[in-house]
Amino acid sequence: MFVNMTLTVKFSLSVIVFLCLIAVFGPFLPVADPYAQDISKALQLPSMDHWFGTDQLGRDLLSRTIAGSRFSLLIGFGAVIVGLMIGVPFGMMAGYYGRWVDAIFARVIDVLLAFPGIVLALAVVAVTGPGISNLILAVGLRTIPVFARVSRAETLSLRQRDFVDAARALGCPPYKIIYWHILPNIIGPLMIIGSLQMATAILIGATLSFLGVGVSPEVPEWGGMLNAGRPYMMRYPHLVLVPGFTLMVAMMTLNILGDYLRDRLDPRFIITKA
Amino acid sequence: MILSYLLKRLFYLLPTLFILSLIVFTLVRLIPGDPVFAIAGLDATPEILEEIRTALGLDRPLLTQYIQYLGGLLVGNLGTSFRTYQPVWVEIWHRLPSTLELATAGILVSLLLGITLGIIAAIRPGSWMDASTRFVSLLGVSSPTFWTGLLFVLAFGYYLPLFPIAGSGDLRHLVLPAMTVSLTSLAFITRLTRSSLIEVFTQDYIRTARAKGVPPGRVIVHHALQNALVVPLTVAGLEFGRLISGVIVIETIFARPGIGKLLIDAIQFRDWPVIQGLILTFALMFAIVNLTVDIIYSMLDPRIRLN
Repeated sequence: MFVNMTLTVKFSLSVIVFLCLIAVFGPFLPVADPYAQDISKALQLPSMDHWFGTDQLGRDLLSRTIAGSRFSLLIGFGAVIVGLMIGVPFGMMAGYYGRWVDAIFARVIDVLLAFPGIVLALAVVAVTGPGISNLILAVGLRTIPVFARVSRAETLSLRQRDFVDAARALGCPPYKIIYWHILPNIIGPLMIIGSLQMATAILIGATLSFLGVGVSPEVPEWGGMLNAGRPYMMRYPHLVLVPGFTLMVAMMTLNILGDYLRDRLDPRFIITKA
Repeated sequence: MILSYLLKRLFYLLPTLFILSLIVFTLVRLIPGDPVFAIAGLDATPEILEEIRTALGLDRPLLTQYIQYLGGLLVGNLGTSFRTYQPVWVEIWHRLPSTLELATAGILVSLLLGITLGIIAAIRPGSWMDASTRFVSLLGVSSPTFWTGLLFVLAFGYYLPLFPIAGSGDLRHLVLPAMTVSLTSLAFITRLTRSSLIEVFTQDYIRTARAKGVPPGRVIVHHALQNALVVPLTVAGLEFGRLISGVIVIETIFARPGIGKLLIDAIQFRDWPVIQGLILTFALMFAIVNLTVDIIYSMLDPRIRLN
């Protein structure tokens, strides 16, 4: 699969791997402490001491950007995992058992999808309050219907296949069929949805932090950093340009990767984002 | 025929709305912290707190509160804001025009520009025009709205002051926010128009038209576009619904007095009635837009209706 990738895709993949690496190994890197404030050094433009400059409280922007990758990727992964853990079994059951399970499924999904865009996530954080785990929950709720719908559609079509009939004839109980036969076959579409949803999840997480209802302000998260830098951005644009640019790069690479997976794994699926 | 489809869809809308109101009601009651403190201040005496509680009806059992709420909804009474003591629907009503203005401008821009760019990309697939439009649309899809908004503020508000960056009022105030909010949809519509148009170009009747000597411009506009535009137009309808939520961020950046900003303020102030009312409003607007798109789509494609 690696040899078929164009240069763009290879580049995107390496960027994502790089981001993951600095997210994991961030604390061990020889950069400043992202939380260390030093007002005397506040609002410096990029220099040899501080490659990305400093923010309004004197914190090194480079280390904050690196630390930010942890949080953003954490939110992205967390939300996708929530969607997978809850949405996929739900969708598969609705697709396999049908009838009343499916009816309940349709109602629940309708309700989850009734809220446009970030309104759902906003509603959740309005109730639970700010914080990383609440943020993951809020964004995760948004991914559940997407995964659930795709799993259901796939399960519906796979259910008709001969090997499922054969398994049933052999007395295989439904839960085993779902786990051993149907699930391995839907991994492909799930990976596509997963990468695209991760981009969306990171975006929504950053948006909520930007609006002030996500993580708390000392926590280095790209969206929050953008919000903090807003009052100073006229004279110190680097406060806003740096985190925004990294955010854009992260999302772009994830989108490219998702598109590539979609082209490779199954172009006949019209998998549009819900 | 269309009428029965419409009625059926409306009918299915009702239980969803009902469950929505229930969820919104419970959601807001789950918030930790007593809202009376937010109104009265932390050092208020217990008597004042009790007074406020009774006045707002928060001391009744939960079921009674919900039935009251539901009854109010049916009449159109969404409660009173904790913050400004105005009726919630008045607050929303005052701010709705600004938001609708922005959303409409956004969808128009993304449609006009998106279709144009899609056409440009499709007539010469693989060229640098195609590649550059594809790149721009990729940027559009992956750029966070708040970032592009801030970039626009920097670029056109500060370095090259052409357009106002705050408030609302006339058309000039709309330019920057509309451009920001339309970016993602624009990218999406461009992609769809391009792929849809490329597919239509492979059809026989296009070949016939070209063989007949129809000038290329007319081939595109008169023959190909009608069929190619079905998918992008339906998507545009759905995007309108998404735009409605996108304006939340835009209004905060460009300081426009719309319902998006109202929601953020309400959340920060824990203004329950406004939060409830706004969530319902957003969901209702979204549902209406989706319903309209479905109706239009079913008018265009009889197969959907007969399903």
